[in-house]
Amino acid sequence: MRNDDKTVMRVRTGADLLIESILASGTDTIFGYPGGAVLPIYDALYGGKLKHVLTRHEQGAVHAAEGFARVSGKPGVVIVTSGPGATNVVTGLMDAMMDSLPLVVFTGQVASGFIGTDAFQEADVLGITAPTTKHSFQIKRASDIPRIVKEAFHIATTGRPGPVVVDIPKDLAGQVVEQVPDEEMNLPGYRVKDDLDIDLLQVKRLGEALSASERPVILAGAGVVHAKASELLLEVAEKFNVPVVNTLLGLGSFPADHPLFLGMGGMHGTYAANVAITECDLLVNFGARFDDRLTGNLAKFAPNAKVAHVDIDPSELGKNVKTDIPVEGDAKAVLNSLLMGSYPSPDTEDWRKLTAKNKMAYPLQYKIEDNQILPQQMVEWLHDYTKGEAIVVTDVGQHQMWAAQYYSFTKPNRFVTSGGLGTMGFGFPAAIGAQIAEPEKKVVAVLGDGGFQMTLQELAVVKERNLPLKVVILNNEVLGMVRQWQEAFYEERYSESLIPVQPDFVKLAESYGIKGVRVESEQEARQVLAETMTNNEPIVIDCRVKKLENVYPMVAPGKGLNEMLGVKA
Amino acid sequence: MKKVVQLLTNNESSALSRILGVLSKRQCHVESLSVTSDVFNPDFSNVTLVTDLKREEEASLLIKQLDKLIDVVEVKDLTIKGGVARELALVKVASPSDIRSEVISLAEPFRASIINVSRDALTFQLTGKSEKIDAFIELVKPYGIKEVSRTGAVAFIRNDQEDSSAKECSLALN
Repeated sequence: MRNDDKTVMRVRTGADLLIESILASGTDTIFGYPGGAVLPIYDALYGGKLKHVLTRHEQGAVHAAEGFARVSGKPGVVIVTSGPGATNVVTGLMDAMMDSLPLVVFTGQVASGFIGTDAFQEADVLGITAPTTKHSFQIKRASDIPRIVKEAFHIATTGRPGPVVVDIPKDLAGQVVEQVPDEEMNLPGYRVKDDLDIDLLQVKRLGEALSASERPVILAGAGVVHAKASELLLEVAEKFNVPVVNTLLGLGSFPADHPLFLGMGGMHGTYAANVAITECDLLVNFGARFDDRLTGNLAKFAPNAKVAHVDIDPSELGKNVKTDIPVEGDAKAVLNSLLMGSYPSPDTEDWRKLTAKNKMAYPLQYKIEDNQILPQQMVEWLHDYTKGEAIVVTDVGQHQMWAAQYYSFTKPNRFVTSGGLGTMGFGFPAAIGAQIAEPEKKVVAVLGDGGFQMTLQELAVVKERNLPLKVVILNNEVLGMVRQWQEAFYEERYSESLIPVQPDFVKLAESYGIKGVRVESEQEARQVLAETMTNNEPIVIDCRVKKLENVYPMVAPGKGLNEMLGVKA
Repeated sequence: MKKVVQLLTNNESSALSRILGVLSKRQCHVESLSVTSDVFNPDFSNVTLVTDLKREEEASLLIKQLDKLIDVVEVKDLTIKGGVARELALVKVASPSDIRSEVISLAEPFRASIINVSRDALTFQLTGKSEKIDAFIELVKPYGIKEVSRTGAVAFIRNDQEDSSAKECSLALN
């Protein structure tokens, strides 16, 4: 239809409904990449209220959405096209599934009539994403869009959060919609418990077990962060005098500078944390899923302990570790209930003396060397120059473990990392998402040279949006964790793990219009950090670190947590 | 051990693939699977699933993971709750005229009915517990089985009191 001044009037389509529904969910920012099947959706976005961040690859969009979700607690929203657009987000979906991040991902689909014909850019998105999502939908009628979008956001953000896919055939996005029924959600198979609906009988058993314990340990995971229950965790730990161990994803849920904190547990956990888990008589897990990287050999895991497990997802209870006190419920509600109950505090003084002694006697350690930067040192300096207040986003590998070990997180939502899936290439785009969610905060991407090369094309987004993001590459010119395992278990046969040919990261940054700098000594590092960590400019720091440094302590595969390598003799 | 699981699901083809996804992810063998539209609500389907688990502890985990699927409205482990399960089979047995009456006499105690007769074969229809059908097939095997088609078990809870008493009923489905 044309009016007199020849501007084209748009009628209301399925795509308009989609954008309206996304806005109605409270979303203001989405990440995406256009393509044929989503042309109607991108047309509806044009000039509208929804802020769209154009990444340079769909993988970048989905990881950015994860970073956004992780620090904001709000769902990360993504739009990608059909076929390759959709398959390019599968890794991010799986990553969000493993780490319980709320995502709503809209994928274009070929027109309804072409589905199943191997049409151009067709992929069976529901089939491909079924095992990598909490749920997925395909739109069958344009008028269903508002209801299904409502359902998608509801599923992604409630209970144990997770990724949801909504697949939208192109013809339905383009279809003119006249009347839209205001439909309620219809999810008969999805029951979300009220946060306060916890198993009080089991909470009572947990409270009594805490009171009766002599050597208790709390293991705090990401569930505490998701439940916004860090302060309650601190109160409970202090009330019952219980030392606390964090999982990788739980870092920040308990202040790292607190006397009761023993550090991260697991494969690269601290001696004090792993020995405490091995020797405790009561292990209370709040919101962690007993991942194998945390437990080591299950037969040797917490052998003398009664195990209590608090989790919002009942299918996690008893999955990996036999649980004596399974508590289904939100960590916050359970912690609250423990504080309200009249459970006497146990006398754990001897135990705390022992755990504190282990912490003092066997700290994380590295051997300073002349004329080269150790990656651990760089993380510590980064901590100092950001006053420990940065949001640290990592990729996957050695640098990830060093960041986890040495940054000392004192607050929740300051550590973003790919835990369960261990996705290389995650860190840089996730940092972009985190910076977009928290524009006023200092965000530092701590990356390896390998992982950064998987998704570095997103430098364009940093420039385009003038994000004050700090990128620190701990550059050892090797795929460090692979190399470390080859050194430890494959007689130093460094098969395809040495990558001497690299871009010049300084020039690379400059080619995107971003300042780049190389640092090779402590003096240079300190100078650059002092200059750049306080300003509002993006920077890429190519920090050359010792090539053959290893992450210690280390629990070798098949070993128990107390059988650590690389602990001070 | 054998587990009979009854599910009420959304009537969507993706529901079935998700259910099988949970099983294949855990490397659970599917012995039989039956799917029909729900009589009371066309938006739902009834699924009966028989699987063989290595350890009893896997059962509760499997049930919880199935229950977690948004397409699954309800899931019950009938081996714990006391279910009744039956199966239907069509069995075509070679029966040349000289042994035909012998084959028929074998089928009688199984209450198998003859639904098709050809010059050299008889087709029996029988219903009952899966073990009964197994036994019949074993019995007529020496005569030469030409074809077998089985529905797999369909099942539900025997009585309505399953919620009031959590007591474990006999594990064998009678």
